[in-house]
Amino acid sequence: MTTHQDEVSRYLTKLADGLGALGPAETQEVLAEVRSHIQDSLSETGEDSAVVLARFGSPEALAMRILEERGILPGTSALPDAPAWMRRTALALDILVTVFLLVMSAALIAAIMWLATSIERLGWPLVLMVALMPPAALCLFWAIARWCRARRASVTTVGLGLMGLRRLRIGQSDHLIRKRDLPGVSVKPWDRLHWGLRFACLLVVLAVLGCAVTALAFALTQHTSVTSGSVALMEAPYAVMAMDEMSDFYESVTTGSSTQDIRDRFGPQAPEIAASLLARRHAGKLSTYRTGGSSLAEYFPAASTDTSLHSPSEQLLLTVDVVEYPQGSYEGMVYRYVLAWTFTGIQIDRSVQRIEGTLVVVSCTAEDDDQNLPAH
Amino acid sequence: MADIEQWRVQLRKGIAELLVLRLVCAGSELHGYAIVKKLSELGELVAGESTVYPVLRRLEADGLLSSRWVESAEGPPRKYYSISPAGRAFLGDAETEWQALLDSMGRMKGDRP
Repeated sequence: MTTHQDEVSRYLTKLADGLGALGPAETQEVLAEVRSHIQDSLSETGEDSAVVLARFGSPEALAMRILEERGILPGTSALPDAPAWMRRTALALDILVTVFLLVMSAALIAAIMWLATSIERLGWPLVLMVALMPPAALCLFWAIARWCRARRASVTTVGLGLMGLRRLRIGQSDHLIRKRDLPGVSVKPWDRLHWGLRFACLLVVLAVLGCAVTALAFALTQHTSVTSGSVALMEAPYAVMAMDEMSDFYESVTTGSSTQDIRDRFGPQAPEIAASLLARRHAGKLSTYRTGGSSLAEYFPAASTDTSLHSPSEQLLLTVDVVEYPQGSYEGMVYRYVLAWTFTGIQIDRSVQRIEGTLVVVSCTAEDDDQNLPAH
Repeated sequence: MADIEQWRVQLRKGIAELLVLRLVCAGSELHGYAIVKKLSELGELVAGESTVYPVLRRLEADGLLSSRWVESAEGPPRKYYSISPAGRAFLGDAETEWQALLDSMGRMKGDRP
């Protein structure tokens, strides 16, 4: 039975191919009628399907006879070609849609490439989602085309649909014919409106997609530029970092970190400064301490206004005051530390901004010792 | 040399329309398989599937036959044909012409004075 069905299916497929000029509706009618006849013949006579099909003749010949009887002669078209102005307008519309699709695709690809450079900031899920949109759209388009072909639905272009035309292969040549001129095809009043709505929906979807991608790119750019510009103007991040650094320094020295560890962690000048600190501690001059204020060093005059201070290797000098208290005393001595901050980058994770760089201890002077102010 | 088979094909094509209309007119409604089957019972000269179905398409398109689809419990739906008023009128005229042709042929053969 499967073999019979395959044979019949092949025959009907070839017959449908030959009946293209009839239009899809009438073609389906012919196929249904032939299928019904074959089924009746097989049921009643028990003949082999090949015998039944042989009585129809070859599918090409049968299709040709049907077209002849319907006035559509092979090799020439009894149907008038659509007027030239309709054909040219349809072509212009198709070119317009194609150009629009190409431009939107290029914009989308550019956005994806830009996003790919920002994976660490945006996260893999968002970038993958945008990157998968074009192949997903292509798969959807392929599936729709396959579905239309399986149902012998007329697959046509936007231009042809809007102009009410159909491309038919008659004989060895293609013709563009008005739908209303096709036999067996009833042109419904809302056909062009239907096509117009489809076209409008396509434009709206593409426009929304393009605006969304553009808005996303713009927002990210703005976010990045604002962040970059604000880094140098904000003392608060440096102040917190500097005070934390000094707390770590005092903790490391007072807990007995090795000289090498201190050099590696706080810079080449740090061991000498640590030795002085340790000496004060052994002399009883340092029992507790408190980190005071921090600021950009006043002898780095452009620091507070230099908005370009966000490029790698830019260096700031920061000061942190630490008040050291001897045992049992509330009167402390202020030591001013100078730290060198070398900016290496900004880490943005969603809305959280982290400034990256290196911070080393450069010098330390007692508050009242002006001779030891570090030179710039 | 003339090909008798080719002539036969042309003849079948010529009378197929008349035969189909006459057959459909004689019954109330007939589907394609029944039409072909009845025509085959008439003899070798009549048309087969490859001729009948194209003729049915044209007769329907010309308004001489009307049709309707009927769901079948045994298999695919069937398309039943019935003759239209225009078809009856056409059939009457065609049969008149056919009879006139037969009379002319008879006179040529000398069967009739």
